[in-house]
Amino acid sequence: MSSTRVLAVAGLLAFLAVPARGAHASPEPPVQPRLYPVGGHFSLAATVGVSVFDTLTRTGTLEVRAGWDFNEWLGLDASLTGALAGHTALADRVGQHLLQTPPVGTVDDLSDLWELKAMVLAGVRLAPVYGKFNLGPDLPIRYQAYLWLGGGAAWLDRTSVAICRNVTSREDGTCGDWFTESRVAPAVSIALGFRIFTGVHGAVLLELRSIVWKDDYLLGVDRGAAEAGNVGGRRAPSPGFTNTMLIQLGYAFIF
Amino acid sequence: MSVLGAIVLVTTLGAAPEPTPAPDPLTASPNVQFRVLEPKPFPDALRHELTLQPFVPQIGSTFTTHWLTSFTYTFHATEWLGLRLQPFWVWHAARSRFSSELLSRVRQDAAAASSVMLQWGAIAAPEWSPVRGKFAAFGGTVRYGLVLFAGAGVGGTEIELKTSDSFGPATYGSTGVRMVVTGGAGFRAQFGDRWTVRLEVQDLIHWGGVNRINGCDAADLQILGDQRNSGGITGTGVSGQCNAGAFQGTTSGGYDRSNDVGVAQAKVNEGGTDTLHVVGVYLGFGVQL
Repeated sequence: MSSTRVLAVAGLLAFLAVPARGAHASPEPPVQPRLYPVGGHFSLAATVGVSVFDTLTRTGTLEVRAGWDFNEWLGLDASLTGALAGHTALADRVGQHLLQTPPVGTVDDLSDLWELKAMVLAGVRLAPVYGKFNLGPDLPIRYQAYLWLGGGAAWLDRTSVAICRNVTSREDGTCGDWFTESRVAPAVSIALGFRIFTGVHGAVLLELRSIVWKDDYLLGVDRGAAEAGNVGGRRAPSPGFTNTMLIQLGYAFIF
Repeated sequence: MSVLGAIVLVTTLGAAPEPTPAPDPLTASPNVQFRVLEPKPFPDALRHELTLQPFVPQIGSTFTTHWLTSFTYTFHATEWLGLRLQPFWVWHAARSRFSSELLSRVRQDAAAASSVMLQWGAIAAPEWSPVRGKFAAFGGTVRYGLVLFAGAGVGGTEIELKTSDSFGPATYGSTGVRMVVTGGAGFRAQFGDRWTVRLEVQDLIHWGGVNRINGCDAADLQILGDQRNSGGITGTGVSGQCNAGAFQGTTSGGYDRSNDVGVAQAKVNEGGTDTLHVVGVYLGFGVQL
């Protein structure tokens, strides 16, 4: 056996022996300083989002966000969101089946039909967790986990699935003019998210965000009158709240 | 140095019993990026973990809503792979708020196949922990792992026959035992050598149509319906699987259970199939033995 091969075997033996020795001795590891400090830094981010757990509406969002980190665990964000939203296939089927029945008596509209069009939010970001994990053997990933709390205003549109002002086909259950409304409503938002650092000046954002606004809809609408163009009824006295859940993915530039 | 000398030296170094670690001069340096791997202080291999998830809510329900309690036994075969056995019991399954709204406001009901609810079940699944890490929080260090799992099992199911109304609470009929497949992901945090906390999202998936209710198929329900119209359900002439007793007598609220026969018959005759998801958030507290 050549001396090179012997040395290689010896090195392998030593390599195998070292972990076993290390497993017995477990000194406390030194605390490593943060590789990516964010305190005192300004950040600019963009995210895209899709709604999850859709029942009657579905939503896609595009958001730009500016933030300031006071220190390593507390920051402030302001964001502007544009959204594309619409009815789900289930909502369309509900409306179609209702129109196929004779327009007798009154109908109550369904809740949770307001669709997000735009939104401005401001809130605080609490990030008590900073950690790392390994992707494969040699790629440590540093991240911050945070809780986001805030509020703002939401621009909302609503298209009914129960109140039609112009039935185009009773047999097919199609409507040419569903009753629509628009409003601006206060919104509150809470999010759980991660900043996964790609370097000192950037991080991938991954968030689960809940946006809540007060619902509003009509009760006791005379179907026959509505189909003649006269939508009556009364506002629901206790309409409750609508919760839209979004998964957002984006990137933050940290300056 | 001779080759033999090198072997002796390296082997001696490798086998040296627990040398005192040298002080690390770079401990305080912010420029240190890579360090030697730290051995796991709390190894998992060949250990048993018992986890109780007492209150599991379903999220994102459409026509039905579930609350359940789950118990998970996990055998960690290696540091990365385990096998979990998970019985669960659904202590609240009911029509969702949306489904009730559909019924009361626009007089539409979900298809029978979409309204089947889980009652209980048990699944087995291999568990993989591909990522481990630690984080600093509130002045301490928490070690955690990302867990992924997928498996299969069985579950008992039921369907609502009468809605809750002024005549009494809702009534339900059994729709039999179905196969349940599951997939999930979550985090497992370790506190010391023994205690664990898990936060997981798990999907329990079951599928099929409503072909029997309380074991009775369409022909059985037709016989029971005829008997009811003739004066009372006797249960004679139905198949052995049909539990005619489930349609006899009254509930504690005085509701005549034979009224359920017509509804059951309509649901069985409806046909169709659906795949149903019960996505739950499982917060569990465990002990490792």
